[in-house]
Amino acid sequence: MNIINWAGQSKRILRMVDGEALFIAGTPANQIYLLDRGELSIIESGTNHTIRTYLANELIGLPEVLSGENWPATAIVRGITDIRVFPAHILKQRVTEMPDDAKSLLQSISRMCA
Amino acid sequence: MKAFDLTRIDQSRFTRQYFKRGASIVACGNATDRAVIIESGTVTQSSPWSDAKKYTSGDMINFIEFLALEQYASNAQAADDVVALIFSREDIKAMLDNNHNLTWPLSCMLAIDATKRHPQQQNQGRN
Repeated sequence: MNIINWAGQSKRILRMVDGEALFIAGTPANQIYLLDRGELSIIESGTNHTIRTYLANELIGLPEVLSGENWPATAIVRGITDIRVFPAHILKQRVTEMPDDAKSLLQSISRMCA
Repeated sequence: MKAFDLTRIDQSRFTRQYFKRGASIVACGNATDRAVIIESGTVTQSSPWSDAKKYTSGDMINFIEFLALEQYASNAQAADDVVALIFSREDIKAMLDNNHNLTWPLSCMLAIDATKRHPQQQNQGRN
């Protein structure tokens, strides 16, 4: 199973324009996003410094959703951007069904994203 | 990172290799088409992530790099005599898929995100 294809099955697509915020630091991470087109900057709270950039076909939010954290930073759209929205609870449900050692492995990798 | 229980790994999936103290086990730039799990001995890693990280029995060397990148970004050297189990990428994928069919893709996506959050690795090739 390809996770990009799986998340790409979401029919909910947001079209956003330059400067709009996809999510704000401190709010709950309850959705995963797949960038169909455009660019997304992750902005560090307080400094307005871009800490990383996501491009088309990249997933955003997997570590935060799996760990149940709030968004640690703010995401700002650059240019015209299409974003597929995938509800976190569906993924969490699938992860809950996974064997314990698989869950443990994913948690270990998630911690390295912090 | 201990990704697998060595006692439960199918013996037909790996080849065993022996490294003398000081030998290079994984070098920066090596293709990530093979994974290395330590059976015995100690391995030290130097990488953009952390210097002098140690791997012991059951650990997979540079697991994040293996999942996310086309080439290893770190060096790993035998700190003493080491026995290592060598797996192909296909076998690791099959072993994780056998566990649950989301384990491999989620692991890869998380690992890619992990490397993205560590700027030193952004210039490395990705899968």
